[in-house]
Amino acid sequence: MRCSRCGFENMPGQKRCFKCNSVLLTEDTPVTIEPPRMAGWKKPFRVFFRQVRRLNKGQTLDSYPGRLPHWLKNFSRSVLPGLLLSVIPGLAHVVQKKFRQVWYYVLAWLVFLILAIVFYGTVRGLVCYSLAIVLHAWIVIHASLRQYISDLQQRIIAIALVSLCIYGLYWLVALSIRDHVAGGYINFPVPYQNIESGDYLLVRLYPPGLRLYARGDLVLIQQYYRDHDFIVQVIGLPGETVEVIEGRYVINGIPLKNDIYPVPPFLQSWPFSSIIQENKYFISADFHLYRGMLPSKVDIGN
Amino acid sequence: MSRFTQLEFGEEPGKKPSKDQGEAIRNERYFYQEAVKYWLNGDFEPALRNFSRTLEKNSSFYEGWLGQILMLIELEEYPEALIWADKALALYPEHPEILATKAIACVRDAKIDKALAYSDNAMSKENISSRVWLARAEVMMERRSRMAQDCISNAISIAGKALPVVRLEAGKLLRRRKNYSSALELLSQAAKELPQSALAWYELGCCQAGMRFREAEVAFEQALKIRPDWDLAQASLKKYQKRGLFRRLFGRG
Repeated sequence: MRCSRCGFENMPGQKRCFKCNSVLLTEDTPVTIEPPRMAGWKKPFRVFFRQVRRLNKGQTLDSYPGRLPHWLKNFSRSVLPGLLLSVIPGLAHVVQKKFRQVWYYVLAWLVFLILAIVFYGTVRGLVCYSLAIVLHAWIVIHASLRQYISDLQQRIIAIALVSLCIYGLYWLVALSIRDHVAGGYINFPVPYQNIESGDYLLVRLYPPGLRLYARGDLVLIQQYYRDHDFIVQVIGLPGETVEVIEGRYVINGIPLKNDIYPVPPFLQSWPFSSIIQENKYFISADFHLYRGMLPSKVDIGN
Repeated sequence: MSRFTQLEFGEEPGKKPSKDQGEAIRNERYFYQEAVKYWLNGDFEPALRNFSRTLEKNSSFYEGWLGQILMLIELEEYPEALIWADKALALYPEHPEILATKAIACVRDAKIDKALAYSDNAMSKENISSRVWLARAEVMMERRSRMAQDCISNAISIAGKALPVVRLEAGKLLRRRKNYSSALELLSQAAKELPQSALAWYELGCCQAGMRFREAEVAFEQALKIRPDWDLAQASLKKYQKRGLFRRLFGRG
């Protein structure tokens, strides 16, 4: 049998050429001649990852020897330090100089975390939050426990256990943030600030009574009989007279602009007039949340 | 194999086409020439199909395998090109040209370390061709090495009959790296030697447009005359014609 590449005459039955090691093709050898093709949807992803690689110059962190002390690299490879360092996803890998192995997990984790914040309070947000936790768990396992886990069952159990721990960790972080930040839905549009009805706004918390509010401030109201907190707008300050005339707020006889201080629909149907007591504010919202004036101490943030 | 292999055309395989018979015999050489024609017109998809057909006729036709890998690279399907190069390497182990195409696929996919390894491997073989030198030049350019120009010179010096195509490939490479002045010389010669190649004219046009030469319009028009339905050339021509007043006033040539 003659080799098509080098022309060497091989013994019959040989599969590869004795001289050049090429595969010997016979009449009945099935050869696939159609090359694999790329699916169209993959193209933008490939372009993106290519750009990322190009920015990274295709180099690993190992290209920079001696950047980290050797003891730190060894320290990070043991189980407990690896777990502790992986509290920040990817940190253990950076120390171990193998971040390239997990950078896409870290990127995906970041994306899911951002999406979870964007869709906070919805099912989508919950799904993104869960995925972020699972990805974080996998990064932790990859950093320190991977060598001890061999089969799929062990991996699933490990991911479940580490996910639970990470959930607890996230909960602790959320609790610490909760003392300073809160969020609530707004039920009316404020065109001037490009806010639409149903938007979820985050507010910074102040100790009660510490801050005096200005007209137009958006403040969060905690309602213990509702599931969610709500954002309302401060319209009248203590001592002022608030009226609703022709669908606009009028403060001490001066009409306010409707796009900055929108009047809720239920207030537009009948004339309204009130004098605000001292230490109280007049707030505007698209639902009956509080009867009478709101004491300034109830406001929790803006 | 194809479902058409049992059809009888009344022609013997391998017989040379004669004027009396009219149509050429559709053997692997015929499809290879068709593929090269499409390739030189910048029409890579049909070129790939024709390279596949050469292999349908003769699966040990080396140029068919190489052409398929090169077309996959031109179509920016680098992982597929690598898979196919591996398959070709099973048939032609350690072939320097296939290793070089792997290096090209890797370097264009921004996998520089792998590209360098494949290029090193290709360079270590005997009887290396212009394509191996061009692949080396591409890897060196990615690494911003001054050796790239020497590699191109070597590729041209050993090109032989394939000189116009090597000039075109080298010009394309330099043009992609925005080394317009060097690319212009090579592409001008390539366009002269391959006047029926839309790809050569298009590349020349791109190079001239990059240097703000007014001749770019002529080159694009020439490419469109050869291949009127080429969207890429049409878009480039429109873009060039719609350039701003400042560029029109201060354009060279």
